[in-house]
Amino acid sequence: MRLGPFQGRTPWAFMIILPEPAKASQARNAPGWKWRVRAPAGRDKTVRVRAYPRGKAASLRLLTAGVGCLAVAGIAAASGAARSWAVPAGLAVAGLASGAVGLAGARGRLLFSSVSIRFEPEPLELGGSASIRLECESAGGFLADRLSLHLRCHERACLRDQGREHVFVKKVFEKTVVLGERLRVEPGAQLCYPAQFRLPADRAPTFAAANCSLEWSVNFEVQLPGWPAATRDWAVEVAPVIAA
Amino acid sequence: MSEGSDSGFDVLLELPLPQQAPGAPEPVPTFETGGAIPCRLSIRSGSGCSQSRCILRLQYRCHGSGTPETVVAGSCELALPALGAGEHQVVTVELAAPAAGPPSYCGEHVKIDWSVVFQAPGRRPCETPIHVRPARRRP
Repeated sequence: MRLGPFQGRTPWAFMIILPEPAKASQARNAPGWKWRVRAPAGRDKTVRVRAYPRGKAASLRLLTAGVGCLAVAGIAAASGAARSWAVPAGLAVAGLASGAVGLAGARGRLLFSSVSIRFEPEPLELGGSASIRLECESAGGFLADRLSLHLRCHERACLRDQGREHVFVKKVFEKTVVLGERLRVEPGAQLCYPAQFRLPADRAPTFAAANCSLEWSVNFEVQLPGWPAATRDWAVEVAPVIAA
Repeated sequence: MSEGSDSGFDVLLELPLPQQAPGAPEPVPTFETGGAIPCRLSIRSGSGCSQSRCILRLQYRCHGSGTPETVVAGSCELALPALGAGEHQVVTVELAAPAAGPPSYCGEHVKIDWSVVFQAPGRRPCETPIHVRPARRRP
């Protein structure tokens, strides 16, 4: 089964989508159904791009801390453990403030209401050229320091040892195409960026086994002044074929 | 080329080698993804052997920093005939390298090694390393 957020404006609601089989490459070694929280990048190529003022993880940590503080304050007040109301009240105020900042940060700022990507050819071939077409619709106006596309390949290995998992990741290839610098993006603007990459012939194609994989991806990065970069990734399939 | 033997018979597994300049290190049989892997098994009986069923397996091993795993990409069952003392027989089998790969790879955390394994009942598997490279698209 796959869990995915509603496409509307309710980011906290989730629905259960029909079961789908695991990716063919994974199914070869680990057949069966997989729980997936993120939409698979292969087909669903239209995404939204949000920027988070302190990064999404930091905002979620603040939100969690806020909820935790409120819970502790509530328990202390209800059980009468605190000698005065000052401690639970202080905790509640700190929790509310932290939660509000975290919630505002976790919602982020919607930069592009839709970003779609197309690859040509599909799958890509080693030693060949890859044409990528990126179409974006901006949500609100903003000033971008830089828009760029990165083609990357990572090695990923998982060592299972006495119930523990150690994951090793190494980037083995990266190429960057800068789409624009110091751009003023107007609200509702439709942007279209074609980009061309040449894949190396001496790298390995996409591969996935149970404990190791070679993953190719395209990453769209928006750099805003004074904000952490907003990024989205798409998995790319590279065939074990050297282009003519 | 690799050899295996026990009291019944000797087996020599031969795979075509790429042409190599003189003085170069010993070449490794090299094939392409989606291509054929012709294997030649040369069986020589010592003191005579009975009919037996053997398996020729094409496999790759993923190792490196992760937990090693072996994936069988193809296999072929062979019925070897009974041979008299000193008799010799050649069996030719063609295995197919999968078109979806993966090719042989040696990275920092991920390594993929291919091999052809001959296995007969009651004897050690005889493994020959091979190299698999991505197929070249014809123009």
